[in-house]
Amino acid sequence: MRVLVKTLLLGIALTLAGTANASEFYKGKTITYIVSTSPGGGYDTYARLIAKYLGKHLEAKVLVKNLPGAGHIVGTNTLAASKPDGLTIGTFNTGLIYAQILKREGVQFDLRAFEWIGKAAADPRALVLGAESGMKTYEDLAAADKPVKFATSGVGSASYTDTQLIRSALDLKIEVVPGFNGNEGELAMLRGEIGAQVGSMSSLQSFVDNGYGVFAVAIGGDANGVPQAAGKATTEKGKSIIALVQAMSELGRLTAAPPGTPAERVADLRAAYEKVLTDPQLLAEAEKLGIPIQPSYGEAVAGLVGDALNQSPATVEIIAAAVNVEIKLVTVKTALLDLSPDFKKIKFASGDATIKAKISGSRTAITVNGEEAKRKNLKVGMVCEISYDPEHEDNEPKEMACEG
Amino acid sequence: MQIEQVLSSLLSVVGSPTLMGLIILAVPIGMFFGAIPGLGGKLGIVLLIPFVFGMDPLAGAVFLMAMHAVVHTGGSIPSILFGVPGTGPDAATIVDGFPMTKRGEAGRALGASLGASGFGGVVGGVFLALMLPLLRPVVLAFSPAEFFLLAIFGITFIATLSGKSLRKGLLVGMLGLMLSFIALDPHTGAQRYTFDMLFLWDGVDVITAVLGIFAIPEMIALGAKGGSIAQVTGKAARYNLREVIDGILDVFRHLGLSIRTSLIGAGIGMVPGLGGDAASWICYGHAVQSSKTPERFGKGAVEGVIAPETANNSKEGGALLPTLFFGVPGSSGMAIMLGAFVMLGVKPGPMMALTGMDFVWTLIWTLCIANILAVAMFLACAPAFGMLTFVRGSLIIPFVLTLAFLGSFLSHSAWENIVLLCLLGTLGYFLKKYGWPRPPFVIGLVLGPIAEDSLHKALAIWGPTFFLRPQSLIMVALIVASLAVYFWRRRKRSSVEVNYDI
Repeated sequence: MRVLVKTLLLGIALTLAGTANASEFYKGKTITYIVSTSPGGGYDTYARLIAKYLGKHLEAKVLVKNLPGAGHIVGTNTLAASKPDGLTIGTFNTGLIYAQILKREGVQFDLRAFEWIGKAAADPRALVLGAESGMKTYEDLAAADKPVKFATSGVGSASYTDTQLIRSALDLKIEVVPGFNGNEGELAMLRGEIGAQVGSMSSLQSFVDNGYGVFAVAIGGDANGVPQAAGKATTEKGKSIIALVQAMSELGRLTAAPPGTPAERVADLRAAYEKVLTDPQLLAEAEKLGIPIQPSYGEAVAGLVGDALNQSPATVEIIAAAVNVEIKLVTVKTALLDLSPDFKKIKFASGDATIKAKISGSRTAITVNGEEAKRKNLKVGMVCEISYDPEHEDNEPKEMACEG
Repeated sequence: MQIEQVLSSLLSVVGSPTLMGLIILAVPIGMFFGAIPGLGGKLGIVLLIPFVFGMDPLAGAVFLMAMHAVVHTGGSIPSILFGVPGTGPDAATIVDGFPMTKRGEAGRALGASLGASGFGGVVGGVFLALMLPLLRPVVLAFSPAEFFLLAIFGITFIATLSGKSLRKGLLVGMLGLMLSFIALDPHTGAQRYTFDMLFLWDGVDVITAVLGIFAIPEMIALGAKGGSIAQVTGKAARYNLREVIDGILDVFRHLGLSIRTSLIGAGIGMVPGLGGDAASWICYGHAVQSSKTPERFGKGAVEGVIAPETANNSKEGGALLPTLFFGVPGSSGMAIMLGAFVMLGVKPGPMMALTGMDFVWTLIWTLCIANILAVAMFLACAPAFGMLTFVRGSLIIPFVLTLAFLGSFLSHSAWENIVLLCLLGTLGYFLKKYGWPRPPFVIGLVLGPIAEDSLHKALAIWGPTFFLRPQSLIMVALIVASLAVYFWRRRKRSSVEVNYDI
């Protein structure tokens, strides 16, 4: 008995020693990890694995809370509205970046404002051709004389948006058939009703390994032998769209804390997250689970998300046109480049373009440093978050929130 | 298929204390996850995965399989006792199971459900074994066109289930269909009747609807009336094992029905995309339609318990087929199971037929053994559960309502569901009070989205003539036959009608 107690104590002592530099704040606390899907499936698997080791490194209890609904929007809205005390974090689909760019209904969060903890994987996409379709290479698809049917999940989902973007970028003759959830698309390819599908390369890998289909092109990733879509795009527009999809695919399995989380908590969480994703035990477990780990942390992820969100109005229009969404407003955060003497005309950068806009005295809501303000309070060089309507002939801003 | 291999797999399960121990451990866990409304088998696998981590692949797979196989055996317990379904697919069991309880036959209903679950599970396993050579053509024969027609076939059961007045039944069924249109339009992504509430984007939660339409009204009625759930006088609450065994024997008294519904369940399970809710309601409808005395249904006909319960257990065997041999899961539960298999180092896919047949046979046997064990293990508890229904209503109502609200909340972790539960509960109460049939409502709600979604897909794939393909024509013939039988019967015996107590 005494030996047992000693062994136990030794074990505890060793565990403590191993994590001695964990943050004092988190010791014994309970962290809620919001997963925006139902239990089971990729997001849940990653979150539960990370939660287990995050608890170990922070000496805290990490509870996984599944908040499914509305294609990850419910969970992400809840995360955005959670108390920013560092005790709530969450994970959700990278496709929400599209949802924000396209101002999808129901979105009540601003991904720019989240405190990014890190990302666990890259999720390269691939275009897979079903064996029954008779097509074997990208060239077969490009030369098809009838439109090829592509399965996607519901309209507005990340898979739908990806497919439409790739169709538009590569100028493919395809017909998108939405409504295939989970593995239903793969089954439809087996039956030969559907010719092809765009999806996550890792989840389609076993389908291809089983001989049911072939990868025609990959978007991102190290795709042993599969040609990259970037090389197939012939137009500038096409190249920029593929670049966007590729940038998004880098950002798999994101984890973020709500806007306003104190900097020291964010630093603790980022440090712990980095330790978790380099923990050899986690890596071994992930390999067994068959889930790839390609992590990136903190600022780097925040930068990538910011870049993905900061699209020029032209690109936004292309995305909107590709997925048939009516786009109303574009939001950019940028410095004021020029201001006319009557304070009515401004110039600012949006993506790669310089936008000339006319401010309305009555319709444009202006704030400076958080307080309501008039046009004349604006100065050149102020950093403003500007929402404007690119369809409007004067690019009239609806809201301008400036600082400086 | 070699007999030697089949038998040696059986021996390796039964002869291994570890495997048998794991099955014995897994069965009560699975029944627990089924019996608590809102938990369910999917969550069971997710929560158990950390425990199987590091286990030998075979042992881990056997453990998870045994757990998942008996979820619906447990799920029928609250359906029968309190009118609260443990899981979605156990909802159809309420329609006749709960009236049996009210009649004081809880023991027999539990016995029938246990027996039917076990029977269905074993038939599902046997089906899986027999289908092995035909797997590919059969699974691939079903496409969105057939899904659509199957859903329509199920919707025609609304007529059979309407009871006295076809008009009332159709109206309630249409109300259910209308409610099923609340969601994002699967084809255009537009919001339909969501009133800007995100929780309605994914549609009305079926568990909440069933709880609202069945459980809440029953509890209000019980509270208003007083007494206990079992409304019999002169029959004391006692531990009555004979009644439970009698229920199990009922499964064999209706052997033809049991086999048919088991096969329908396994077939639906095998084809990914339809789901357990559809399977149990279609089987319930089949039981009513094929009965010589359909007027007994809804008032506590034992066949009404047997049909859905055989189906929801047998579909597990069916769903395992595409999961193992195509690597394409047959149900959402199986999707998680597939992840667990991969984690354990088993690689599902067509190679399985060449290299992994020992593993497949072991799982088939596990399925059968777990189902039989579940019956044996809970035989002793069932009479005790039955006694609960003789407890005074004022003691049981708060407990049941807690279960109902918990189940509704847990199914989506959304508080809005509780508001919805109260609204639907009010609707359900008035439907009950004025004698409107309630099952058509759930049929509409469950089958509506399947019909809509697969119609869109079928039209996109084949265009308007999709139903002229041979498989589809068979389904069309079934639908016509189903309606013809209904109208023929109605004319012949105008007095014979189903009259719902529930």
